[in-house]
Amino acid sequence: MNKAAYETKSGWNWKRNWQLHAMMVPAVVAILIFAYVPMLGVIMAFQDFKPWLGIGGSKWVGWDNFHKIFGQEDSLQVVWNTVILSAWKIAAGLVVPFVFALLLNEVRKLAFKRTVQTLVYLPHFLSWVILGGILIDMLSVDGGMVNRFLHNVFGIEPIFFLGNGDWFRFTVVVSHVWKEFGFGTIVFLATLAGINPSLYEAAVVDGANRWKQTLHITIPAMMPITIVIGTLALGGILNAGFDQIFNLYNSMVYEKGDIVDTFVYRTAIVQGNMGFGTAVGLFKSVIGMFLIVISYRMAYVWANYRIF
Amino acid sequence: MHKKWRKWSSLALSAVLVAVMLAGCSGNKNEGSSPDGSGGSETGSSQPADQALPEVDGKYSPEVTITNVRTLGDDVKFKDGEKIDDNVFTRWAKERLGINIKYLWTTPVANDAFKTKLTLSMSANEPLPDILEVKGTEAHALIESGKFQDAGALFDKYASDAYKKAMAEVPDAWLPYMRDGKRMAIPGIDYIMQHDDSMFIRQDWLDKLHLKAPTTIDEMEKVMDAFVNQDPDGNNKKDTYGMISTLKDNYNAWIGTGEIFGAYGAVPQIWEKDDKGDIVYGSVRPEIKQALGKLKEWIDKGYLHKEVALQDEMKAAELFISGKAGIAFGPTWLYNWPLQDVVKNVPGAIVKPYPLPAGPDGKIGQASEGTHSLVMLINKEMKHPEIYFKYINYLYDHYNDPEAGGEFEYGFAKGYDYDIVDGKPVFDPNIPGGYIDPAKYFLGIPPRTPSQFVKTLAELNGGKEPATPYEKKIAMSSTKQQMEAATIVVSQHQYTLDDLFTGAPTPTYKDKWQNLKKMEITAFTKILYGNASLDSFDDFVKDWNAAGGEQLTQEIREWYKTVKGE
Amino acid sequence: MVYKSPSQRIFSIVNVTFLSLLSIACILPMVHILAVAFSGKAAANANLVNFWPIDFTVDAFRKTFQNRNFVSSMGISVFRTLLGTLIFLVLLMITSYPLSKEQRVFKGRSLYIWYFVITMLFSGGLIPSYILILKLGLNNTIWALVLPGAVDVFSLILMLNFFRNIPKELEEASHIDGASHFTTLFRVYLPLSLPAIATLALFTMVGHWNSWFDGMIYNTKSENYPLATLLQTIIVQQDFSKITMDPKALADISNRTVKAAQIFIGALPILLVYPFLQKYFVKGVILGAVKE
Repeated sequence: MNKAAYETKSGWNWKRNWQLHAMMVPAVVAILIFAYVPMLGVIMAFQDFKPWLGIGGSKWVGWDNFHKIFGQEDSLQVVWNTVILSAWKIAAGLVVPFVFALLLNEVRKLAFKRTVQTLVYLPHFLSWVILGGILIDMLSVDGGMVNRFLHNVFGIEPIFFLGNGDWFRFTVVVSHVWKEFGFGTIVFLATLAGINPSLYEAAVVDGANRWKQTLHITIPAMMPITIVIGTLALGGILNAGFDQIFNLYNSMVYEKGDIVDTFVYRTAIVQGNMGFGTAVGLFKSVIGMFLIVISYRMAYVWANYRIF
Repeated sequence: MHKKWRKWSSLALSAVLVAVMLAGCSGNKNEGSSPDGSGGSETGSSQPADQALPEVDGKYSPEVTITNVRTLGDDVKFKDGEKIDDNVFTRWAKERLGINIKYLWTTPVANDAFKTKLTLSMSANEPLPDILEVKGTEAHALIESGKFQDAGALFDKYASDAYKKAMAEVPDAWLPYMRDGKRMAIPGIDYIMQHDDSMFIRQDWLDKLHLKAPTTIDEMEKVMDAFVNQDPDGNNKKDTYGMISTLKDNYNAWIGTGEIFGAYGAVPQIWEKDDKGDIVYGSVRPEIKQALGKLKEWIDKGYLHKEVALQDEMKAAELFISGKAGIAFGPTWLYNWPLQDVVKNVPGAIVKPYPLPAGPDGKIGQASEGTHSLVMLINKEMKHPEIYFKYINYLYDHYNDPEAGGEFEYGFAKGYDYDIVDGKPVFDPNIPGGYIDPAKYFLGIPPRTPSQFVKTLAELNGGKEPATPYEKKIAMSSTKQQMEAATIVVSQHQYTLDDLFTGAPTPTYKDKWQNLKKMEITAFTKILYGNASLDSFDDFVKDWNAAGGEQLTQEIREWYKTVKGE
Repeated sequence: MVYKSPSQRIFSIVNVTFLSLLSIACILPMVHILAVAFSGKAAANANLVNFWPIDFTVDAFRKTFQNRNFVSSMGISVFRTLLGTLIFLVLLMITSYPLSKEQRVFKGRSLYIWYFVITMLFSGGLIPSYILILKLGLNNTIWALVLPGAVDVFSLILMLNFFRNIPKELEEASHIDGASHFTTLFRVYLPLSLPAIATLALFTMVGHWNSWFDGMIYNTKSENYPLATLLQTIIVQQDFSKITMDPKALADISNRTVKAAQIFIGALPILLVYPFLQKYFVKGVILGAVKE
């Protein structure tokens, strides 16, 4: 088979492609069993679910659970809080590892590079229960490390990071990035490792300096994977990180810090209202799907790139 | 070929889907039957349910099996080779009573694990255990399921005199579980007053600053002012606090603040009677406003840590243990743990309990923790519920207040919770090989006589010679501070208010409670931190009532009438 | 030695300083936890320990290793992580290879990909999954922990994007040599994707190692818990509401030094994986292949 024939052959082309279809079979079956079958459980969103009656026996309540989502006085506020926090987290969670990977890429000493890589990925392994306690100490208005530093170096009056709504959001985003950027960097490092070195060689021949090389080769090469990760993250726009918020928030910042998941936890999980929980989950999925489809289209139309 | 493949694949796909869906759903329609050998049925032959099980020498013969589920916390320790379904206790139950104990599943304590597992298990229509102990608040939904029997009737029929006598001390414990005159769950009664608070103070600080222990809020303010401004720890830094407190969400936590409110005449976050005798929610009573004003003043003056609204009990306790705070309100055991650690961190530290201070009008008050937290449900499928009673009766009769020279004189098992060294009993921490508490393995809720313990401690503190094995054991294993605190809480017990609403969530409660709670805590925190004026409390009360609070109050009054028959 | 301009040198110094400071900021909590683990109980409970132990002792570590469950749970976790990652990698390779093809080459691709993407977002929640595992008879087996997550769509999408970067000429050459798709995947794609494979393998291993919830709901006996599930009983705040507490048990539960020791030992094995995998993050593999 020559090159031309290989490219122009279209249609199902079973003779050539049966292998490709065969390769898909195991994953398709696994997903069917472990994702699609349990997905039938979304019908709980339309039920007044009682564990002892099961999915088959619980009472149908139509859209009641969904009415409840927006029937609460503060539900719009909560959704808004979630979107704001989530959007900042997604943005910062992309930019910081991206830049960090570029900086690390400029380091020539391999041992130093690997050490830094390993150290920054440590916080990922600590749960928010632990980090929450540590953060409360570090950020204390009353002799906390951060406020002492700010006061001694910049003469700033103590900031109530966890007790003031806006500072709380700031703290949540920064501490999230601090915990996860090292882990997030790994993907970018793998991308960097995959860039064809001949491109750099050609650039050197053309007289491009490091900065030019970064601007014209490295960054464009990293863009696709960045867009992919960003798009997929959009699917979770209504998940702003339950564990983190739950371990940091308090009554002073409910107005700006209460998110969908903590709200559902208090109203549904604690009271055992599984139907309501499922309804909220479905709502989150639909919004997430909507955003993913839009950004998929946008990437395709503007950048002519298929994300997946 | 293509068509064939497509047909075949779509056929297979739909077949799988349908099969699994049926399997998933139909399972719930047929009533789950107990697994073999459980449900209290004998192993071997099938005995009609109404016939008594054969016993030989006080034990079932042939042996019977009882099933249970439980949480396993980090506090449940095992000797080498033992585990939850094979240990000194399960072997005892088998040998002494002819009862095999079988656990269908266990979960960790944290993260609502037990509740989740129970929900999943019920949803999948897995068999329920013969007996099921859950938190009282979680029992309501389970009772609604109709899977459990009239436990009160069984209690009347099978409980021993000792067990009945203990239960009769706290008759109101049954109230939450009354359904159409039936008692659907057995409350796991606990020692009363065990969680009543007294005021623990750094005595060495008082002595150093030549102060007397405060008896009123006014005096307490002066003491706190001295603790904050007169450098009681002598490090020339203004780094000490008057009192530790948690105002995160639970004002009646085990590092308490409810007492400050109580001094002004109302306890927040519980349902109590107002001056007219009507049931109201404590947090919306006018007296709360005064107390909030006082607490705000204390935060501003640095008597309380600036971050009280962020601190849970553990975080608050740190301040005391590290020697930075002088006063803590807490239960009788608070000195044993965790306050005692301050002595290790600050040489010379002395902590002493004192009575709760009185408010400007001489009022004192705090929230009670109720009579119990756990309840026992008995599965409808359990054919011989008397098996459970045979076991629990035995413990009430012999273990709870053991007779001298009896089986449990010094504890449950030698080498576990006591040992004999040179002919004399020794207890924790002197047991060679370490202390292991076999009561942790007990089936269901451990037996407790409400009037025991705190009263016993108070009597021993009053100079009574320990006579019974129980008294001797308590005397040996308690700290002086705990005994003194016991005396105090017994003398102040009349100021402890019960939470009068213990029933199943009412309709408004289900719909609005979370929102009402959030309103409350947000409004209070704003006042405490000066983000809203003290007068905004009145607006909060109005809003609270309008947002469903008034309706809820009515419903709770109705409920109280039906259970109390008033 | 490559010549460096002064501006490059300044950048280099600033860069190294910045990265070092960042590393220190990231390692501090771990140092704190280690310091607590080696400290005396009273000091730890009073939160007096910062980055250096007070009343140095190794008691906490001794207690941890005396707990037989701890050691056997670690074994279960290792097994689960290895088996889970192996299955994951095999499925990942053979699935992302076809999906990395253009729609015009591999018809049906779009259908497949959306079939997967939908499951990334929609789920029926816990209850149906639990019922499913039960009906399949997988509860109390290792399969309940490794099979449900065997296909990870997020990884699939990342991997197919990595595969797309592989020069098409290589694949064509392989096909012209008469190689089948399977051969092309294993001879051409796989060796050229080691950084990506290492990355996703690491993500999966970490995921398996840290996952605790499935271990809890699908095991009826605590002896069979993987380590992460066992640690849940220790690290996470207990229910500290006053009434549900047994005062006697509290001192045990709240022992911070033991908690700290167990967190550290629990995380250590997985922390060691990354430095080992770093050798696959090397540039130049593709170049070599193209030049040949």
